[in-house]
Amino acid sequence: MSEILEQIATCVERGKINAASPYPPDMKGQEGADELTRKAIDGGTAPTDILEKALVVGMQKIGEKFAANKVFVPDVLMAAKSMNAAMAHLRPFFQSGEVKRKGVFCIGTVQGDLHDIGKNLVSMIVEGGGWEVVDLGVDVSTEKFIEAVEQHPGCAVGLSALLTTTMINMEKTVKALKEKTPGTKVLIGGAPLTQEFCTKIGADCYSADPQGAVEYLNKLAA
Amino acid sequence: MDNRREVVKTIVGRKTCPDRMGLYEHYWQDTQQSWEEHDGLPAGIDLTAHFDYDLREIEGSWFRSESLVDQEEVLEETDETRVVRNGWGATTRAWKNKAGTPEHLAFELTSEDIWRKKYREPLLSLDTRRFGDLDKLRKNYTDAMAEDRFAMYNNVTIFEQMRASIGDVAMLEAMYLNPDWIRDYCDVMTNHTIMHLEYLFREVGVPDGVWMYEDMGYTQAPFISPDLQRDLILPFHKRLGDFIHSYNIPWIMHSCGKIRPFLPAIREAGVDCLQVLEAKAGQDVREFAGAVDNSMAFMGNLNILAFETNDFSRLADEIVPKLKDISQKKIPFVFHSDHSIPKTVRLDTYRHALDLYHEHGRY
Repeated sequence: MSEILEQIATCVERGKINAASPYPPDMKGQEGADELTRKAIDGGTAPTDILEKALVVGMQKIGEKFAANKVFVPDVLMAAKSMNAAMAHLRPFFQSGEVKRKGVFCIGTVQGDLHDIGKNLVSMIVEGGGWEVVDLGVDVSTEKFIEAVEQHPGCAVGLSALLTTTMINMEKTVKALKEKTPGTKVLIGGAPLTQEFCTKIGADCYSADPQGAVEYLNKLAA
Repeated sequence: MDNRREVVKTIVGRKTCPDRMGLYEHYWQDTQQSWEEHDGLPAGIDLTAHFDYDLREIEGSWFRSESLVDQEEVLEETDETRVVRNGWGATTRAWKNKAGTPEHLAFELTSEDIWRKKYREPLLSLDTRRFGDLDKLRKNYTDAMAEDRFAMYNNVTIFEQMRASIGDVAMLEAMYLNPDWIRDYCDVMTNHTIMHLEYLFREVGVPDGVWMYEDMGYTQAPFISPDLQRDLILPFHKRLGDFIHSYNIPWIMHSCGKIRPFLPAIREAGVDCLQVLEAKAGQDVREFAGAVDNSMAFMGNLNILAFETNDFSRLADEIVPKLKDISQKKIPFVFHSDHSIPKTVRLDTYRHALDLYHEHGRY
């Protein structure tokens, strides 16, 4: 990997957004993901390489540390901010089709549940893993999940729930998705969920942390 | 020991074990109604009296902490939900008639600049508009102190206040990008809480204890690192704990999620009883108690997922071994689920859990 891609990956992993950002204290005054990505594009680095060899690498490292409880939510938020600062420079290349994502991941909190922190963290890390994320929001009905799959054929779907009283709505949604859009892969996550519950309702993947979701999705894309 | 108040004072206040464990519970909003409709629970009864709990949170003791106390407005209302912009400029959507946490829609207080210009100053002095009907509270206090239960005031403290006012994202980012702002916020809000509790103690009366909600974790981990908690949160928890202890009463802290890494700091802050020790976050009250040498009391940790099976045998598997160990290890303990009872738990199941408590919840 070239030196500048390594630097961008480090900035994403450490949450170094730009030169003005005071965080992390040991990188104060240094260029961040924002400036370095601009510099890499201007210097002729392929945007695909910036995405795959810098941003995805940095987000994967923070995701792995988060899964191992070596870093905490603020670290993920700072990494996502850095990644977004870099992504802003890549946007024109996504629009032109020069850079392609691994696939589409539609995610939402199931019907009856308004909680969104966990869903948002998963969205950040999955996007950082090179996927296009379609955030369907909270209290999402089964019909809305099905509509999203119809609009994004071949997408994977993520269902989130915080409460034991709402996780039961997942079963209905998974069943409907499997009936109406056979082949759709469904991932589930949330505080009260377990692998046992995932198996029982016929979902394809349960992950206790966002990185597990990325790893499953990457296997699908491989 | 027959005296309920004394049972809790012994467990929570003195961290010693009387002849039985304490008993308390919380419910989700729609549980009681469901039990009335489907399980024959008489309508409108007081569950604390009905199930003979040892503790009671005094109704009306909760005072409002938002900065602009008279600026709450309902922006939108349907049959099911209500969108409210509160006195922090935070907009949330919540269910009207069922359980659940609110959706965070927008937060205005996202920088130190906005904090200093608009929200800080109103928090610096006592404002009696923050209390509800004080005459009613005085009556509730008198009634609660007259009955034989451990009576508490309740409220939230800094971590919860930050989440409600700044929002999770801006708050957690600010802890890294502008920690001095967070320190100032915690300083102001802790003084604000103390000032208003002091007023209640003086004008209404001193309760048996104070219950503070302070969610600091989710299922997998605490929201922030133990180092950051120690740096930004602990000094203010200590200040609040010292204040409460100056009245010779204990404080009980509620926190959801996996907060085991914070246990040393929670103990250092002088928390007398930690609730609710979510079992589904991989926590075990026996391990917590061992780590602090039984120098704190604990409440909760009985896995609600076992209750929700409505299978008496699985319920017993969850409850009985824990109570036996707690008894044998002399852990100061109050029987409680590991959060709140949802409507998916049938009344008979909950009654069976209480039967198990009465059979095994002895020292």
